[in-house]
This record gives sequence, structure tokens and C-alpha cells, in this order.
Amino acid sequence: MNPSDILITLIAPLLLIVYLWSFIRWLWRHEYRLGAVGGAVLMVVSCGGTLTYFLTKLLS
Amino acid sequence: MSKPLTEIETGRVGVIELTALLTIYTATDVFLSFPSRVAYEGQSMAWAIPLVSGVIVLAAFFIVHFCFTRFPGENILQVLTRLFGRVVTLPIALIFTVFFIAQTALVMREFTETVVTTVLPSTPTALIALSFLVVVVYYAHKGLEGLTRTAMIFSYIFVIGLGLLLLLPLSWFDSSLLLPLWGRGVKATLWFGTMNTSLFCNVLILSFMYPSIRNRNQFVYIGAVSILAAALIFSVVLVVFIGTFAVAPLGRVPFPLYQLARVIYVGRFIQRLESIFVFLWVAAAIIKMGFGLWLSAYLYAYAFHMPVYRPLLFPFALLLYVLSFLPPDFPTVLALSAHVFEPYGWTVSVAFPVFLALLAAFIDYLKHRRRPRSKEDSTSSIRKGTGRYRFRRRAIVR
Repeated sequence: MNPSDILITLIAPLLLIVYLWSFIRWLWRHEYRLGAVGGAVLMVVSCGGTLTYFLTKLLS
Repeated sequence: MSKPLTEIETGRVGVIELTALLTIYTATDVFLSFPSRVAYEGQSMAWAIPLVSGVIVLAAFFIVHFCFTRFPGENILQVLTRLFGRVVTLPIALIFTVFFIAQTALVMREFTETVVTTVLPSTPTALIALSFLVVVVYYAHKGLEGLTRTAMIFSYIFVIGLGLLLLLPLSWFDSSLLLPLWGRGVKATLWFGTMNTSLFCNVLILSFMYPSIRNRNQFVYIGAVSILAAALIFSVVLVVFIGTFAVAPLGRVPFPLYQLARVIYVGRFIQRLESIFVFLWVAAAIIKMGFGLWLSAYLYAYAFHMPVYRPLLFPFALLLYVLSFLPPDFPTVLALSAHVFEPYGWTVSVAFPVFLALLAAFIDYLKHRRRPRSKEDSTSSIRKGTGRYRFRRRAIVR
């Protein structure tokens, strides 16, 4: 794995969780409940996708 | 508790700007492996395949347009939400989101590989992809108005650049290579023309863009011009391409337009101009990927009833990066494009919007047939801004 892969697979998801969590809270505060659920789904999908990518790179 | 915000605001776009954006979005595929694949399928008559696809997509667009005359000022998702509720719209918008994100990821990988193979062979692929992503996110962040205006400015460069790229290698052009005229036969050409309609997402995109157009009377103009212009660009590129390289080796050329730029020889001082044209196709790629990313974020935000879409651009950019690098190598990307996207992509990009538009128009027709509307009802609906007259009232108020 090259440095950019490490950056993407380890640091980016952490930043993404922080970023999306604040966005989800903002949506919830403004009574966009479905939007908050969508944000949570996107957080799971993005982090899951990154994890899959990480594992694929690691195993190849 | 804070006050709830309004729906997503995309702004209003001009007719020429949107036409330019849609044409570039569709025609950018000429810089990728598309001409090579189509030339292999259609042989010497490959130039007719995009024209066949264009005609089919144009017919589909007119069907959608005809259905949408019943719903003035609403896009396909708003109509479906009103008729069936958000439970139906959510999965449909998610299907479109997945389609656009997958398509953009494939395009991103193909362009990254093009740059690595042709111009920057020593640079890590991930670094090129990251630099692509930074620009794409910035571009998508500017919104629909920014996207369309940039596309309009770039369209002049695109047309002039592509024209030069097709004219300069004409010293190698041999018209006898375009024979036999019928290639694999008319039936095969029609079949491949039908399959390749997946290249044209104009019908799908225009069905979302309808409320954002400044002058909605020009809706047909935008659709027809963008579809025909893209089909014509594909066709002319294929004519020059087949006449320059012959059909036999075309299936094995991964970046046909790059090869075309390489053979340019006008004299001792004007030759090998590919380094100039790289800027042209990288700019076109940024427009395509930027709009793809914007569409994905917008549709996802609409699906989950979010008031804004810009915060979603960063997670989608990460998803784009991850998806584009999941295929292990470039041949796998080409195989995905040829065996999955091309044969089945049209179901989402052409057939599904047509089906949804027909369904919505039929349901609306049935509703109004059961309950005939008196003149007084219509007048009060317009005044109150309810039912199918709410958007018309908004226009009257403006």
C-alpha cells in the first residue's frame, strides 16, 4: 500500500465520521429526521466502502 | 427548536448553458475507450451506431416530454412524490444515485488510467485520482449554475479542439477504409445502436432538470440539440478514426483519440500534438465527473428529504475514489464497461425514465377522468395554489 492509500483508508473515514456526525446532528435539530437517517446510511456506506477497499488492497 | 428549512435550491440555468453541459457530459466518452469498442462492434459501419442510438434516445425524450406536459414545473421525482408518496420516490432516487455514482467512478478510473499511461507514467495512480477529485469536488460545490456556465465557456474550446483534432490527422485518412459500407450489416448496426443508448443520459437528466430551466418553453430544444450534437460528434469521430486506422486493429486501441493526436504530422514543426490535447480531455473529464458527482449528491439529498446537498459532496467523493479503485486493473474496468454498463445501462438511463413518465401520466389521467374538474374548481385551485396548479401559480405570482 502506498502513502495515499493509507491516507484514504485510515484518515479519511475518521474525518468523514466527524464531518457527517455534525451534519446528521444539524439535520436532526432542524427536524429533518429522514435526512438524518440518510446521513447515517451514507456514513455507514462510505466507511464500509473504504474498509472494503482497504481489505482488498491488503489482501492483493 | 429551530425552524425547518425549505427544499433543495438548485438555482435557474440558461438554455444554452444546459445544452452545452449535457452535450459535453455525453460526448466526453469519445476520449475514452468508447470509439474503440463501437468500432469493433460495428466494423466499417460503426459510425452509424451513435446515430441509431441518438434517434432512439430522441424518441424516448419526446415521449417523456409529452408526458411532462401534464405536470408543468415539476420534475419526475416531484411528480412521483405527489402521486405515490415518498416511500416510492426514495428507492427510485437511490437507484439513480447508484447509477450515477457507478458511472462516474468508471469514468474516473478510465481517465486516471489514460493520464497515467499516456502523460505521467511515473506518477502514482492514486495521486492523479486525488488531484482529479479535489477539482471535481470544488466544481460540483459551485452548484448547477456554476457547472452549466463553466460548461458553456468550455464548449467553445471543446468544439474547436475536437475539430482540430479531427482535421489535422486527415493526411492519414483513407476513405476506402470505410468500405464495405454496411459493415456487419444493418441488423447488427441497429442492434448495437440500441445497446449503446446507455451512453445517453440526457433523458434521465432532463427529467430532473426541468424545474431548474429558466425558459421552460425551450425544454425540447435543450433535449433535441444535446442528443443530436452528441450523436453527431460520436459519429464524426468514428468516421475519422476508422478512416485513419482501419477497422482491424481498433478493438485493441484503449485510447483511440490519443492515438489520433499522436499521428498528427503537418510538418517538421507541427507534429505529436497529444500533450496539447491532453488538457482538452482532462477538462472534459472534470466537467463530466463534476456533474456526475453533483447529480449523485442532489438525488441522494432529494431521496432523504435533505434541504441541502453540498455537505454530501465530500462523502460521495470518497465513495467515488473507493469505487473507482475497486477493480484490480484497467482491463477489468474496460470489461465492466463493455459487459455490464453498455448492455444493461440503458434500462436505467432510458427505459426507466420513460416508464416512470408514462406511469405518472397514466395515473394522472385516470385521476382526472374519475373526477372531472369544473371551471370554478380550476380557478380556485390556481388562486389557492393547490393540486397541479401550485407551480403555475408560483409562475403567475413571479
